[in-house]
Amino acid sequence: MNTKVQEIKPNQSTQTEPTSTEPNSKVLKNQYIPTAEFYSQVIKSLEDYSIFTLDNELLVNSWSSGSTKLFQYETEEVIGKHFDILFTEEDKKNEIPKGEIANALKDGSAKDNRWHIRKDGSKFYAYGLVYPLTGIGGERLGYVKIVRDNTDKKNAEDAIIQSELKFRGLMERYNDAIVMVDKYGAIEFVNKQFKKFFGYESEEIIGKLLEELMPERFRMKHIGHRMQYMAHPTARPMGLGLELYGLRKDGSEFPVDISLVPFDTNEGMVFSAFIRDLSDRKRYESQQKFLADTSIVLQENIDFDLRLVKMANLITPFLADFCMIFISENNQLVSKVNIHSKKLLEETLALVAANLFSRPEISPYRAEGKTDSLKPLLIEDVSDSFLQTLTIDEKHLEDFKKILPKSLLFVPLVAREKIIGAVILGMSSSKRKFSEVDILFVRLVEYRIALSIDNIRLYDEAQRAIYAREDILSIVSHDLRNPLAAIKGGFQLIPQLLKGKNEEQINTLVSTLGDSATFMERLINDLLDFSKIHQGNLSLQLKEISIEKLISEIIELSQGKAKEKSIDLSSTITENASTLICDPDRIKQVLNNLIGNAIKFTPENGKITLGIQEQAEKFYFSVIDNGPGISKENLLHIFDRYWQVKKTAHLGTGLGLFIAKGLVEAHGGGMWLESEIGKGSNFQFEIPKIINSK
Amino acid sequence: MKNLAHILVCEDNEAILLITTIALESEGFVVEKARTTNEIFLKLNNETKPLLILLDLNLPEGGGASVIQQLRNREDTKNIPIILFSGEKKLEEIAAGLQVDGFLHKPFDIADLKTITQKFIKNVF
Repeated sequence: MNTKVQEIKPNQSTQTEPTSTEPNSKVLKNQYIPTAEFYSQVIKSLEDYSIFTLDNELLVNSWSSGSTKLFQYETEEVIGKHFDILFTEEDKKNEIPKGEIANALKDGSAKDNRWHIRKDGSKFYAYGLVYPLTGIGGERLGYVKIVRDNTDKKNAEDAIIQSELKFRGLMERYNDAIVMVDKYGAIEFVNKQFKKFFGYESEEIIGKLLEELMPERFRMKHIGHRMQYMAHPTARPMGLGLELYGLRKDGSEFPVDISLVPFDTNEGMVFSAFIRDLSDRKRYESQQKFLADTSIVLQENIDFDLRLVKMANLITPFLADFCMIFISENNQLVSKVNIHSKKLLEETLALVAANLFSRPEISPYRAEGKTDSLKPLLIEDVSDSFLQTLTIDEKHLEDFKKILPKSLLFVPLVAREKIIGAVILGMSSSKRKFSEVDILFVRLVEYRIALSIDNIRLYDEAQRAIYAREDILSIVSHDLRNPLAAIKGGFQLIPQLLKGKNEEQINTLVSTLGDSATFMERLINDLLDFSKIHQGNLSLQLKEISIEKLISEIIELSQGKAKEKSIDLSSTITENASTLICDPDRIKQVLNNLIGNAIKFTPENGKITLGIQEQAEKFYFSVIDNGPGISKENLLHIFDRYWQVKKTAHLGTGLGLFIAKGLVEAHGGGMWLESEIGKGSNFQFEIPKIINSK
Repeated sequence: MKNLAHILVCEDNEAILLITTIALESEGFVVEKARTTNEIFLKLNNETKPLLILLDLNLPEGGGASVIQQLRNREDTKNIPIILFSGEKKLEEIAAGLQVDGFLHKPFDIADLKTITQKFIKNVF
């Protein structure tokens, strides 16, 4: 057995008859019948191949020169060694050498590509082939193994894999979504960005048609385009000059820009679509346009409320499906405009808005546990329980639900660090939702609206102040003419009366002229007070006084006038009330004014009651009469600067109540009035016990 | 007694009413006083009609303009001369727009009051 193997060993020089191995074969013309020497030399010449044989124990028993070149072992170093020294440790552990032999026995041969180890321990990648060797009688002689160094090829393959990995990495990291489709339009590959843009996982979309990514209305047309394009492929942007839209898995659409690139591959033509999300750019563009539009509306020289309506119409549906605008009036948020993109719901919206903010304890900010009410409040997903915290009763809640608020944004209108109003934006039917991103832009809009409202208010205030001053001047100068006319005329009459020695007439005249002078003095004092209050620099001379004394003085002063009309003028003081810190002259002026008015307007035999109550932190005053009362319309204006009930006796500047209110406010208090036609009037004011005077 | 001519003075300011009365009485006129529009018509119901009416523009209960209209519509008063007096700056313009015969600007001189009164009373006689 050993001798037989020796026959093919290249370093064996033994010569045998070549015909003996294949006795029946026919020798062709020009055919050379090789000898063992011939094979030996052939094997020797195969320097790039390692050829060696193993005995049945898998010990090396022949070793070609190519083997020495490849594995670095000399013949004498390797003969008799187990061939597993040529394998990696890992392969040895996995019994790969034995496995190879078993495969060769089973299949007649075994081949594979794997790492082998040289004598110096270095590795090379090699192609290996194992055959079992069988003797003429069928007995197993051993095995032959042929090994070829394949490292270069392996490196080349690795390079290809690396390059593909790089390419894939590039595709994955590309900022555009990339979709590769085959010639039939079926999606073969999508990158990471695609998943982000469209919301699909790759396995959900691979194999589907490209048109799946477009809104329904574009699909049929696009299939036609695609067919045409496949016939004449060139790299080009798609839909030049057209608005293209992508369709997300959730059904929403977004503006896109698509470039198509054809690739020729072994498997035929494939196409890559590079899809760019234009939402941001589009949003930016439309936001800029929106801001420009708002500037125009806010600068328009139109009625304040009309501006708000126009604003709300711009906001809906661009920013929101519905919009409610509230403006702060007398420290209350009053509903001004309610616009819904579904016009039918506007009435319901107005109902909802009318009840929002109607009770101070109901605040979306409080409901959300937020304290900074100067910042917008975002309710991304509106829940029933949130609505419940916002509404005043079941009916209100039902109405609110009718407008389907899915997402809400509360935006306070802030000017000079004060809330001057609020805008509520809502999404209802559309698939849109507010997010943090919207807040930035909405604040920009809010700032513009607030600024515009504030400017209008400041302007109106300034205008009103100017008119008021002019009006007061004209009223007072006009009113001064009567007493002045009387005094001037009266003095001209005196010489004549003296001549006639008409003593009684002289006395009457002098007393009347005195009244005229007093009246002039009052007008001038009113004018001065008005101007001080108007400019906010009224100063108080604070003193502690006895309440009982104050009341008795006031009653005494007015009792005469009251008696002339048989009016019952009385006072009630709560028992505990003792002393009061105030500017006594000013408080007397206020009470005199109120009582004077009451006497003026209460018919004969009427009743006027002055009341004072001491409360925890303030004193409460009231002057109640049973006169004719004041109509609702007139109630609104009663404290205006120069307002007088028209067509009544022109008995003063009309500044009286304005001044009285101003004096109470200078004490840090407030004045108001309850009255109803036919039921008399109740003027009330309160001043705090601790006064922060200027 | 020079004459018994009656003059109706319509004025809500007591002081002006007083000095006007003294001035006109010293000229020998009989002065009738009205402090409101209602009083004007009460006085005009008297048998003796005034020969002249001095009318303050801003009277309570109605005001001067409507009084003038009513006086001009009444057969027994439509020819009585009316002098408007007021502190209005634009009194001349206002008077031109109403059916009145003269105007007197407040504050006025007693001499002017006497002059304008005499002028109209003389016209009547």
